[in-house]
Amino acid sequence: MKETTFMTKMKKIPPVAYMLIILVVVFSILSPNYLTFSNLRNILIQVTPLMIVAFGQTCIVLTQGTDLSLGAQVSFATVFAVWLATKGLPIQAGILLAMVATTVIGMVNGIVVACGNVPPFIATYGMQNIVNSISLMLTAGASIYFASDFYRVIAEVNIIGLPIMIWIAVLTFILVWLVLNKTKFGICIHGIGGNREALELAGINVKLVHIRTYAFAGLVAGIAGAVALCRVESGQPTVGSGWEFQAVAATLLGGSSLREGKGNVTGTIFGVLLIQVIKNGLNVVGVASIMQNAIIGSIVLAAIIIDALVRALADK
Amino acid sequence: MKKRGISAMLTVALACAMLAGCGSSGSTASQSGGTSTTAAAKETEAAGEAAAEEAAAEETEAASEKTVGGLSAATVVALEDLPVSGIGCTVTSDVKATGDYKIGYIAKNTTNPYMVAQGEGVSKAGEDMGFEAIVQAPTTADSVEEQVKLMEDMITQGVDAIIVHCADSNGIMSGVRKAEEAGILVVTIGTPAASDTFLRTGVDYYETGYVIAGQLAEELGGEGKLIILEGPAGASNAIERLNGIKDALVDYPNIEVVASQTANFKRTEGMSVTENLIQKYTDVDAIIGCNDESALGAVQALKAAGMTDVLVCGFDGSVDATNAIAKGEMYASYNTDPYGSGYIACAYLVNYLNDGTEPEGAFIPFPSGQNDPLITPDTVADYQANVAWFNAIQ
Repeated sequence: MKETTFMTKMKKIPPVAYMLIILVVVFSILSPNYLTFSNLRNILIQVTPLMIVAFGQTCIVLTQGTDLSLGAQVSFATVFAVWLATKGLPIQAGILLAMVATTVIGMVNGIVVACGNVPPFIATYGMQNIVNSISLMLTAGASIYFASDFYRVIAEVNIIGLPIMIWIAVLTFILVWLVLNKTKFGICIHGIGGNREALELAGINVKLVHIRTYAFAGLVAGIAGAVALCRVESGQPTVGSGWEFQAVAATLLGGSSLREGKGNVTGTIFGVLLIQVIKNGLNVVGVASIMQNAIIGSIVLAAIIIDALVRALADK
Repeated sequence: MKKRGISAMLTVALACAMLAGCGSSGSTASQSGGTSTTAAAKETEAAGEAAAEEAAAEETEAASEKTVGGLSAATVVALEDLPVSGIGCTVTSDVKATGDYKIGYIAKNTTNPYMVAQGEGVSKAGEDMGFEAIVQAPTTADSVEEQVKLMEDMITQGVDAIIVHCADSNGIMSGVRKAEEAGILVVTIGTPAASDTFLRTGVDYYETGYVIAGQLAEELGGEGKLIILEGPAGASNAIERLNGIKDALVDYPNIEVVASQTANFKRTEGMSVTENLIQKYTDVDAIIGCNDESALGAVQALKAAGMTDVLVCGFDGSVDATNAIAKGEMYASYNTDPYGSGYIACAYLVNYLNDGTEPEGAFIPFPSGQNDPLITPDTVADYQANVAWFNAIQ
């Protein structure tokens, strides 16, 4: 294993990465404005909140679960932070407390899944509705405002040409990558998806691992919420709706598997980029909005089928 | 344990990045000149109110520059000075593009007929005036976050102007700032952005309420019992409209508002709220729903209860509401004309792009009271046949 040749390295790159390159080429032929620094920067800015959510979702997918409450948690984080600010707290403190709150929500998810033996799909779907409802209650159904220049610092102040929010995504990636690959906790996450019995026999408290995984995903969703808040400068009770599914799609596109505990957060980056590159490309080329979802769905399906075929061939 | 240490350090680094603003927020605050967005939003309501009072009191021809809390008040422009004539499907304009312009329009969603008609208005303007119209909407309905993305993508496309029906005043601001930095004109329709843009058009919600309530009060002969079905709590357009209704009723002391409850702009809620209220107020004379949907709910409830002599009013001039007016089940509606609003926004933009002609103000309501926006049993046949904005999408 120590002698990683060029070919084995190439095999590690998920097929979705090649698809990404093809799409970028196609779009840059279709529109002269596509392959410019400002548009590439645009794509990175647009993708940031979903990217962070997908990092959290990857951890859950590795345990053979899906967390359908992550999108609701993002919305809740934006609302809760602003709500606390309107009650007199500094917005930064509100954001940190919102992250704590989403961590707790994740923990509750974990407890229900691990101790209640409820399928993650159902448990987190219930939580999604509860969290959405709380967000709406805090805002009386509308959106909620608090004036602050802090938003613009995160969303618009540049470090090396890119806004701080992108660097937050980079740091989150490094954090999740380290947790998954370099800690015992991370090995246990892979283990739950791979071989749960073996993990139990080895004396690992699987329930605790579950709870910690969901709580960790909650924390990451809180970070995504902070970034989303800085982008829309208001607490929006529906800003993250649907992101949980896009995050699952991105994770699977990135080569993680719902069955074996295999996969990694690096692949997720390509998965999310693929989704956003399609969306941005369709807008820049000028495809009507009502057709976009169908095109995105088709490309995502195609990518997953190609990915499966390539892997089936590689296994032979 | 070393690994855990590394992750702990990273967490701290992340937290620091989030809080980086603490140090530098002071400087950005001074740059922005202390324009507080919430203050602006709060006073939008006041601005609308002041504006329409002005409009009602004196039908001024000239533009009156007046700014309240960062957002400009409505400027009433005389009919003959508007760059378009007509309303709804009859809207036309002499304006012609002298250059190669690209104008983008961003709706709130792809499903509401109102939004579809607005996009059609922009497309038609593109054909008539001779510019390239790009019509887009978020794939997730009413997502302001996606609207910001669409704005960024239109900036990349190199459009000359962006017309947007904001899903949220504050949420749209990062997109508005980016567009303005890139030298792109921004026009809002309906819901304004939190600070002034090149132009705001669409109806003045306060005025719509004022006109409908006034018409109803006259029809009632200045006395009677009235129920109001409000819009969603906290929605600024609903609040402005309600204020307009209440202010119009000040002149009619014998009209008593017996109940005012929210129906959330929905037909089902309009129906259930009305069902409950008419149990108690059996002698009600009129109901104003703050949009056509809630008014139609009231119509259904009244029909089921056999109360046929109650006058019901709504807003928007939708297909179902005008049918109800034609059948005599509903009394009046206000043509909020999304088609014409999209069209006039383009006319102002093309004028400016041609030779730098500035609009008369930052908020020019269209259609306003002088465009004959009322749809009553007398005018409904003509409206349905010739004027209705929904004819543009059928």
